[in-house]
Amino acid sequence: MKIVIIGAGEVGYHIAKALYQTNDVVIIDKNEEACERADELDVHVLHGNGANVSILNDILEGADLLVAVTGSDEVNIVACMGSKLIAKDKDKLKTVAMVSNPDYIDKPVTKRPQIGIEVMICPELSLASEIARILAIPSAIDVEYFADGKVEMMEFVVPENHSFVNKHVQELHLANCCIVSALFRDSEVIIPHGDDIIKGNDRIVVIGKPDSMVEVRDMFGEKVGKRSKVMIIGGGIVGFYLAKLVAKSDFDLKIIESNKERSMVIAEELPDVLVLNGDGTDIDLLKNEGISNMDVVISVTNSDEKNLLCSLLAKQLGVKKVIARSDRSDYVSLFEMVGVDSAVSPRQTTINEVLKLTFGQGIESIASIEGEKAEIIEYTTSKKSKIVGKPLKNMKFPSGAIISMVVHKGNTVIPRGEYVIEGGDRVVVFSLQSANAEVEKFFK
Amino acid sequence: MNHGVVLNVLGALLRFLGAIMVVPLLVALYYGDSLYPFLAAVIITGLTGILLSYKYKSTDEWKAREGFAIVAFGWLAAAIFGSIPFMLDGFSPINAIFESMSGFTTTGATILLDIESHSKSILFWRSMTQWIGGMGIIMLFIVILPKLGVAGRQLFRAEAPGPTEDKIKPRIRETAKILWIVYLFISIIEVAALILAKMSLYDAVTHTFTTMACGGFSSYANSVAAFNSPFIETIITFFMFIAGANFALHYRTLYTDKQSFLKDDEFKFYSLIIAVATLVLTFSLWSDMGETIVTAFRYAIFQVVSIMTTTGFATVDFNQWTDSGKIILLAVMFVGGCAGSTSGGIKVVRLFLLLKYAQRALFRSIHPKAVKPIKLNSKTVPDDVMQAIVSFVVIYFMIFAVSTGLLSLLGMDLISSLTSSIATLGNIGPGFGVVGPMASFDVVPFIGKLVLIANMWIGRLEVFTVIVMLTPEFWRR
Repeated sequence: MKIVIIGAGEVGYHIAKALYQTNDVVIIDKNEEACERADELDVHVLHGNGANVSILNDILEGADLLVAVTGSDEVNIVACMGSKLIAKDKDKLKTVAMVSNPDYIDKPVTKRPQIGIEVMICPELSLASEIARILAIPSAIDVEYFADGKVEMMEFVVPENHSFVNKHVQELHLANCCIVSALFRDSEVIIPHGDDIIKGNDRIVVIGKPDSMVEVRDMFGEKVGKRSKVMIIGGGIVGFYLAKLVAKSDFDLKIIESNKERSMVIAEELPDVLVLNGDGTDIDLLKNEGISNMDVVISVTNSDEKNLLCSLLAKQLGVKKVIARSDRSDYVSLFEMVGVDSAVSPRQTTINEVLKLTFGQGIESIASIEGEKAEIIEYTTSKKSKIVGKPLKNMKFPSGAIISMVVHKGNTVIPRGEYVIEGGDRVVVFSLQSANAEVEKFFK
Repeated sequence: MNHGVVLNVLGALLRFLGAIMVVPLLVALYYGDSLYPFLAAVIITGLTGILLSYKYKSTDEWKAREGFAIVAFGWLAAAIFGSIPFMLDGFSPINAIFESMSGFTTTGATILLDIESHSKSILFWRSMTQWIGGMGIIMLFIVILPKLGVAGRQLFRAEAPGPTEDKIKPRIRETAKILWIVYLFISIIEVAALILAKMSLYDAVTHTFTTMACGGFSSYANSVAAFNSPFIETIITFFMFIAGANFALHYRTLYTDKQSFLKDDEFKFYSLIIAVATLVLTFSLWSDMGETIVTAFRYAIFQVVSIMTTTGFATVDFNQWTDSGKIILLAVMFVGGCAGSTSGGIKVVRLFLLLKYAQRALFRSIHPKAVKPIKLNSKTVPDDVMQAIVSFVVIYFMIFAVSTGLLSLLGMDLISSLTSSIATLGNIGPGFGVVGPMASFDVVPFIGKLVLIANMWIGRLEVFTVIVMLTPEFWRR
């Protein structure tokens, strides 16, 4: 597959990194330093403006995918529109644009075929909806849905004194139709077997049927009850959209925004939300607004440093759960190491969306967990897929991957060794990134 | 300030007023009354207008200050020239100007005691001044004179009641036209309804003039009580209520969205205040005055609507009520009707926004950094509008206090000086004490009358238009 990436910043670089081993990647950027960094990968780097039609004309020959992820919305849109116009095989070339400005996009991911953009992604809005999902389930630090909501994935932190600690995975009495798919210990990823032992502070990924997952959720405490108190620090695109999503649910919501005009805009739009004009690091303001009684504090300003500082302050002042935005995905694990309960990166969704397109046919959705170390991928099998028709134990499925769930004719099943997958089934696979290419072959 | 421009426009306004005075002349002709007061008035007013226009031909562009001057002096000129028929009918000059100003500003305070002794044409003119003043002389002028153009906007703003301008159409002339048409349309319905209720055509027209304008002049000394008909009272109550609401809202309800009334914050608050005041007053009349519940309610609803919309009709001499009843009427005197209506007073929308403003101040004492926009019909009210409202209320109460003080110095008692001040400043009409609904303002001393005339003028133009001319900045080049 030939992939053209415009913009070698955070997002572009990570997409290139995830794809260069199996694809021909061309990457264009105006910035010299970014180009140098991208050059360390095995990709073709061009120095120039990605919206320049003559540059595009030279490299679009035979391209399957164009990903425009520069920092400028307009450049991304123009690059996609221009490529569509000059591409020889218009149907073959797929275009993806990253767009932040809510004037152009109102949903996290949308389609704009009329202007030549197959997929338009707003990282900020995607991030906001991701945080909203986490908020809905207070005990979980990550939540994803697959197969039209028939399969649910949640990530929990196992507290030191939890009953799971020092037990073998097979001894856990999880609800029917739920399975522990992965364990994260410090920076290590473990695909668990029956005899692996769970330790305190492990992060545990459980996949299962939504109605059974409710019981799992209860095992990690925090029954849904009283009105949760939530504070959002930063009323930018992420904070505002998150507040809009959350305002419908029964939350007691406060937003701190430092820009006066911006706070006015938010207050006008969301009359039920208490908007405070001030700085998230102002301890007096935080104390005055009763931060120690907050259930969740979410720090989503544009500055990673500030988000970290606000989160740590909040944690220090006694907040139960803090969520912080980190634009640089490298920092995510660092944030979580120093005490942020959940660090989220707006770039991740963009990367996931692009990866989904490159995996080709059969992929329905994809979720990255713990940075890019592992992915949960949902495939739809066809009759020709290699995996169909034989018991699973006879397959040489890669060791870095596990088939977590199969949705067969609407029923969710945990497949055992004797299980035979049929054509048309939806299969949810947990896979380490190194095993992705191997796994994909089984579903072709 | 460009005097030439102002005098030029005033000239046009006077010619226009002279033409309007032909109407009472025709009425006099029909009833066989003396033609001389109106003939003289038409000639004097018209000639002055022609002379002014002849002398000042300036058609320079004008700015906000010329706009204020035209509106303020235009109203003063209308009151003075409109008083000519009264003077020639035998009123003293001060009384004639008082009656005329009370008419144009839709106050309804009268210096007449023996109303029925005056000719039908004089009483018709008296009611008609209210009808013209109700929707606004300048507004009518904007409709008639196409050449005003952009400048019409300045005038519209300086005259229109309410804190913000409510444009129905992009062009101000079209807006003014629609408002006048809606006004005329509802007036015709009221005339028809009153005739159905067995009123004579003459009474129906004169009472419609003063109801729709929230004026309150009646051709009977006993006001609406003279008819002693619950049916007529119901009709008048209904139309006073309509006239006290925003005419732009009436237009929207009739032509664009039938639900407009239910969506309008001001209208809802207006109805709420009337409902609560009526209930409390009914209770007070029933318990303190020994009326039956039905009679108490009949008096209460009519009187609350009449005073709150600043009309000033009376079906009962409320001067005889106990203080508990009077205090309710006094309270609604300060409120007034809605913005964009023909009523006076502080206006419901200002009170509504001030309450929200106060509520926000309380909220901010707990959350000092909170950002809370003040909203009206789910739109944010800009800060400068809020500041204008606060200063309006401050100046309003200052004028009220000063005029009360002046009247007491002239020897009037506290209740009379207090209520005559608010009744003229709010364009209501009758007060309590010596200026009660069945009494007359003739007892007020000469200087007191001048103060009250100024009150009516300032109140009708919502304070700023007149008061701004007292600031040195206004006259500085």
